[in-house]
Amino acid sequence: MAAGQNRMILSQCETRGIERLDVARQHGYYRALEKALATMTPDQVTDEVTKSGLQGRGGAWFGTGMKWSFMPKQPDPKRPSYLCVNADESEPGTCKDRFLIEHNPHLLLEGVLIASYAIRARVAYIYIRGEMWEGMEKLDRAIRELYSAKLCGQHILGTDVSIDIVTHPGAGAYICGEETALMESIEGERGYPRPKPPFPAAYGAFGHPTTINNIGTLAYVPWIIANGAEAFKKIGDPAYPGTLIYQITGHVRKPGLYECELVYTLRELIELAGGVREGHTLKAVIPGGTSMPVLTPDELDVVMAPASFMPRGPVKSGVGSAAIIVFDDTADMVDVALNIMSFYRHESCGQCTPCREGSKWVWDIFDRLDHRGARTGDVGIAEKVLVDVGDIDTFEFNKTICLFGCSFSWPLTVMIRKFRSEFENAEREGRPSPLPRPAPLPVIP
Amino acid sequence: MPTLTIDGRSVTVDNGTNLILAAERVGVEIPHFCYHPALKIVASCRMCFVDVTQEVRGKPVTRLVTTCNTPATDGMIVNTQTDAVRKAQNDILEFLLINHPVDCPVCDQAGECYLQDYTFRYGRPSSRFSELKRFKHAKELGAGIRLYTNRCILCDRCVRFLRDYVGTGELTVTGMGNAAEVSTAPGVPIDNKLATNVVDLCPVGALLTEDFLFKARVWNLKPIPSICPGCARGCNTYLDVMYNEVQRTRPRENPAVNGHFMCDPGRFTYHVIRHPDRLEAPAMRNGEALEEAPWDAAMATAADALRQAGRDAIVLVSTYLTKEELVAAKEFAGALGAPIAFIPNTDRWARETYPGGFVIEADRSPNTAAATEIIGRTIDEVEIDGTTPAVCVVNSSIDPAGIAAAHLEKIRRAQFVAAVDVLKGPLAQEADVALAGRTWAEKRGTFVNSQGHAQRFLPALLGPVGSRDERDILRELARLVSAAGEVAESAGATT
Repeated sequence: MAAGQNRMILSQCETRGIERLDVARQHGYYRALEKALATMTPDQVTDEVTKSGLQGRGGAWFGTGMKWSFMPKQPDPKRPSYLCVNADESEPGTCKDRFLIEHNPHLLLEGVLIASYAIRARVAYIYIRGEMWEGMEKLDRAIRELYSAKLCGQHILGTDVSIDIVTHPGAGAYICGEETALMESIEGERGYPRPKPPFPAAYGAFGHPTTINNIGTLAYVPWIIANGAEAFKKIGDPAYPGTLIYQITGHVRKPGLYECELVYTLRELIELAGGVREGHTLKAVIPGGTSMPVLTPDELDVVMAPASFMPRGPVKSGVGSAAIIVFDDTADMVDVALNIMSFYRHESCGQCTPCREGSKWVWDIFDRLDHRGARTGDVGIAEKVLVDVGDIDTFEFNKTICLFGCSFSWPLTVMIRKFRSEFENAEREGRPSPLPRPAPLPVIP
Repeated sequence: MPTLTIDGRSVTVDNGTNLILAAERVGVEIPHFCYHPALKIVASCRMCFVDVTQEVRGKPVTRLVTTCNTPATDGMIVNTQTDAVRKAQNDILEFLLINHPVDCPVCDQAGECYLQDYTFRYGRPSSRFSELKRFKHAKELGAGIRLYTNRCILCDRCVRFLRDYVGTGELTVTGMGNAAEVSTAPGVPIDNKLATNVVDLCPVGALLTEDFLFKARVWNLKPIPSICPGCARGCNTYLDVMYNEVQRTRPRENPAVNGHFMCDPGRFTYHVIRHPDRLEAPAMRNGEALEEAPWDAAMATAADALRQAGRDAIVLVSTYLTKEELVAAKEFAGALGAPIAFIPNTDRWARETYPGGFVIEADRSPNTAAATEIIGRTIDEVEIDGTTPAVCVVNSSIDPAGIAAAHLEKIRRAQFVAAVDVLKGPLAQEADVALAGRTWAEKRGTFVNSQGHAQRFLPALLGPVGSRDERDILRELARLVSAAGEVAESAGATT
């Protein structure tokens, strides 16, 4: 079956001037917010979203309504609840959130306000990636419009609901997209992830109960409130209702954003993007951003929904952030591995031992492999080190504080296994560099 | 009060106790770097793994957990000797050693280094790493502390200590990943009174103090339990001794008094033992100057003057003496029939408290509590003027600044001053006979601290050849004073 798009979100972004509040309101924006404030209690909003089956689009696919239900129903006035919106999109290959922020900020802001109302949050912190300064300017402008129109701030629309929205820019760290590191960064500390437990609903930003939602997830919330949970469940697969904006990039004819229901296979989605480039054959596909293990051409008939992948399904990969990166036969997988490892080595926060030391070690080995300076046994050592950081076969993620260690050790373990011949060729072709000289003595200058 | 099993041993602990402390209670050691009972838990070194078997949704599940931040729950079964645990410990040590310079031959921490000890017990003999190690320059952080950044394993103990326990936060981590370094902000060196504790906290040889740098190998040091004489708190210490010299002072844990730490001024009081102005032999006045004299001559001179004075003499003690010496001084005064008073330590400083609970008392002498109880009367309550025939001051104060000027002026009025002291300070300069006593490190005794705890300490060194223990001096003086017959009565009665 050929894949078709359901551009329920993306079509809204094509309206001219939709980033202005007056145009947005003409197209029905903020009516869902009015409906929620006027006719629904916060718990009813949470129930509606839970019934709709909406799941987090950041990559973890945790039930949004269920996450909201963890928040205190009667917040202590000395410990107000917070909503943290994760707009720190930095996963290589992912660009859907940036597109939505830059083209349709009001869609997202309405979702933020409804979510804050549902969890009784006093402030919504939008943590936006520092490099997305254009998006932040647009969001800031949109938020100013909301304050003027009394759609956020004190006594929204004359009710006793007060919600402030604050944008907080990041400063160039991928790790601050991890929810606990995001909260640390908002507090002004270094972006070091916290061990869990305690979970954010109990101890979050500044120690207060906090919910963290991906900004792409909140884009669906106004639609659900306006049209009802039952209508949402009818879109696509009832287990994973709604759509997902797949970002199909790489060696395809028509790379871009494709919004589809979660019923199509990876092969169908690649066809939707025009298939592999003229004159080339498919070699590998990363299905969900570089943190997801690579798939080979014989594994493309997997439905791109969480049910197909670990832990819910058999395939050792994941939908992740829906960033589909296609490689054709011109791609050198050793080079790809080095490219991916460079990112993770640069972004490791350095807090815990396996990730901090392991990322450098593995990068050094891949660097020598790629530049054909490897020694015999290097591929074996790289594999063993990656397993020591996190073993994909036992689904081990506890060696490190957060999942960053697994986000490079799992996919690279699979890449070495599936393209072992390429890595071993690189090792064989190596003219081994001499063993390094010992490091200089540390003297006081 | 959950009950759990650790390596087959059953233990019941308080609610909320983390597994690492529960294991300590049954004598099971769990290796760790970043955990410290006085600091916030970060679980970042990933060394303290154990295998825990718990019921999850009705089925027993075994998984590796970090013990420093996992509270004990009822029915937990903990195993520290499984293959998974050993592999995890092995892996973390391998990761730590790949960029560690392994310069044990030139590193002060050798012998008390967590990384060395754990590698011997839990690590592997060789490494598979054959890349360039990352290199970082060493730094001087202030307060005599050096950071050999190359050796740092980023356990963050120093950062947490200065930020949370001391409240000053001079250290932070800069950079990310393998380029992360502990450092100070530019132009803001470490400057607080608890700074050198980070050297004790550092599990490897990254943070070192210039006070001990390259002085001695730790396995040649003999640790003697002692009490700091720097203030009335009486932090518990170890004096590490080699070749009859104190090489360094370390805090000794006492939850009621000083926790795990001690202050820098107290830590460095040991330098007074070899002070250039140390009084190492008795001296007698000859005109303007004090000249060194033999013990019997000095003692005879002092005893004569005191016997003559009899009831009109005044015996003064300082608050630097041990409880036993105070009792001996009181007996000596009783043998003379003379009044005894103590010289209170003038409050020249303020009491300091720190967020972590550490206290530096305003009274910078160690035994005011015992002096108040045993002696009672202070120098302000006795009359000393030109008619006072003799004053015997048992000082032995380790404060180089000496007795306060007001008190010294009072003592000077007497016709004859005999002093027992350890430094050639202002008092010894005024004395007619100065008898060489011993510092706290050279004798045993008890100090009673500001909280009322009586704390004993042991001698770490032999005193200088020409010095004698204060109690010996007092007993000998008492014997000399009464050996020549009855104590002389005087016209006026004094109490």
